[in-house]
Amino acid sequence: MSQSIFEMRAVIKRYGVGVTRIEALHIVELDAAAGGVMVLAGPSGSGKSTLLHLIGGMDRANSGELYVAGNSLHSLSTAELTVFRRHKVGFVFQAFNLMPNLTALENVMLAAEFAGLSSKEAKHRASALLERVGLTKRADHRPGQLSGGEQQRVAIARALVNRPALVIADEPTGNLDSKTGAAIIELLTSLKGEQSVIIASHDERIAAAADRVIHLADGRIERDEVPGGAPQKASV
Amino acid sequence: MPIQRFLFRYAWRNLWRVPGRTLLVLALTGPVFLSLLLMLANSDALEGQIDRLESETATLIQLRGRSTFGHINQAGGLNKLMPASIESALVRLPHVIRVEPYLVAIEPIAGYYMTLHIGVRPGDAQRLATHGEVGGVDLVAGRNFTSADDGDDVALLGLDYARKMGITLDNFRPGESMFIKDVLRDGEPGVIKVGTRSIGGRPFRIVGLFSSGYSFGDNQMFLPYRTFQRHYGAEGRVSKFFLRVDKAVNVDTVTAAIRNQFPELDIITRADGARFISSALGTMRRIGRIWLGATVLLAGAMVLFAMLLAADERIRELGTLKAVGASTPNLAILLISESMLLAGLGATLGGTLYAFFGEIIGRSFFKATFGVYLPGQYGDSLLDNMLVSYSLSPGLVIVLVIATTLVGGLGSLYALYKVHRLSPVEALRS
Ligand SMILES: Nc1ncnc2c1ncn2[C@@H]1O[C@H](COP(=O)(O)OP(=O)(O)OP(=O)(O)O)[C@@H](O)[C@H]1O
Ligand SMILES: [Mg+2]
Repeated sequence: MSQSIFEMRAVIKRYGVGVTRIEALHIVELDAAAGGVMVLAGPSGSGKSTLLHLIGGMDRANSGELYVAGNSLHSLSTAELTVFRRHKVGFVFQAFNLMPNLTALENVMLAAEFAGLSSKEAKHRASALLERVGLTKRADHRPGQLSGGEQQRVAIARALVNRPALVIADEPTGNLDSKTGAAIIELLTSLKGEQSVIIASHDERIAAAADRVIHLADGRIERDEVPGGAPQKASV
Repeated sequence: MPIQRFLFRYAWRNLWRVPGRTLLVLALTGPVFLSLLLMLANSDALEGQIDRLESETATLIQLRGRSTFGHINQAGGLNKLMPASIESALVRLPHVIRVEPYLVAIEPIAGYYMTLHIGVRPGDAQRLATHGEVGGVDLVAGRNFTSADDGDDVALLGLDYARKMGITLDNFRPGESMFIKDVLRDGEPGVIKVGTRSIGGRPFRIVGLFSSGYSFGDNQMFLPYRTFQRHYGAEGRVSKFFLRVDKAVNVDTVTAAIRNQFPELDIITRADGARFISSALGTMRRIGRIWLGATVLLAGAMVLFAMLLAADERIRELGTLKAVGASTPNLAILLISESMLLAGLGATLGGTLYAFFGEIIGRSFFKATFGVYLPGQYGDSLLDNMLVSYSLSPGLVIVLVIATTLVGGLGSLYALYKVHRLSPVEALRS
């Protein structure tokens, strides 16, 4: 069996209290091989973001076991989760979430500085990544001076700067036109092999480029398919 | 630590995101810091003044005839006063470095006012018959007595006394004449008037006006010692002696020696004077301290409010920072830096204003703060008497740094509470 980037068992996430309490996510079992591109599909409210937040160490499940990149997240303290986020995952958001008063370069450096890199090393890595996403000339621009697609490329560079094992993207093309979105999809899927990538998206084109598509409905896995291969039945 | 440096730079930029707000906070905190410095300079000088007065009273002994106030025209007459001849014995007492004889007459004038006429040697302090232990009065116009004045008909007049005769600081001309009716010799209380017409007395030239800060003090008049003696026929008698002792620790020794040699005298030492000082000036000392605390709280509240707005409107950003790896301490450093920078800029503005305008603003500030608690013109005269330095000394800079730290720390409290509770997911969803 190939090495897996994450494994989860009996993971349940609930929101609210009393009558407003809902079970947003209930995953009986799921694991993913390292180095692939996994897409989470499903209607709005089906639990895609919730699942990404759990895997990314941004939120905690109410119960169950969750192992990501060798860490058992269910047993980490808040401070340990911070360290986990720094080094193991890179997050890409739908609304880019760049710091408006930092330049593109500084936005990328920031994450590296949090991880304890020297300013010199952080700058070196950030410049290299901006080159990789084709933004060398825009390094000193602020987010407000960049287009949506450019901002998302800066955000991807930021997600990559600490060389995480896992890149997580939540609707990365949601705020972009279709042509710009296609370039972002290409960029994210090109990470495959080097990094494991998990993307939540309604975008059919992303699903087509994925190694595996998990369809969620009402917080549960409805379908687990390997594009080009035979659909597997979900383990319920 | 590179991250600290990075966060500090970032904090500086965050400060200028809403420049109008930052400038408003500076416009409000700058003057608050300025007032802190002014209060410190003034209360520093005031402390010095209190020390001076305390050491002055601590080494002062007052002597009076047994159970008298020393008025030459009191019931029982001159006989109840001390003989002037004991001065030579007093001067010879060990540890006594100065002896000032003092004569005082109480003078009712028309309208049931009481005035006090006092004879002092030129060169001795012009001590009021009330609170004389704290030292001489402050001249506000004209000149003091010189040794050439002794025996001449010249006088220093309290402002209130002068006002009753139509003399004010504005219309006063040194050398103006007044006539003093002598109750002792002329019997009936008379109307004392300024003018050319003599009313039963000789004309006195008013050479100076003084202010004491309270009405009764300002209804007193000083005459040169020999002039007083001659005018009232008080030769050979003394109302009071003021003795200066070399050191406070020797006061008891001197007191014992006097009691031994002159058992018929009342000896008044520090206690009374100290009571006056500790009540009047002690109040101001407290005001100064309260002001310091209030300043820090006020500036802290302003910074807190600005930081509260900043943290609330940036909650998504702070959540993102957490998501990409910022720890709570990282964000705390960011917010504390912002709050400190804001406080520091306010302090810099206050310090700059102080360096340039401290002298000008300082005096009106004194009147508006300590002055309120001082009777009458005392606010002015005390300030004139004090050595106030309005320079931005290293000590004051240190105070500013400490105040900045306190204000900045206080100002970041709410924001720190916010980031402590911040879950990255909650922030991102908002
Ligand atoms: N903080 C919260 N409190 C209460 N309910 C929540 C909270 N966050 C999410 N939910 C609920 O959990 C369920 C799953 O939400 P989630 O955001 O994961 O869906 P999603 O698949 O990402 O939807 P979308 O495609 O619209 O982004 C939804 O019913 C949502 O209303
Ligand atoms: Mg979502």
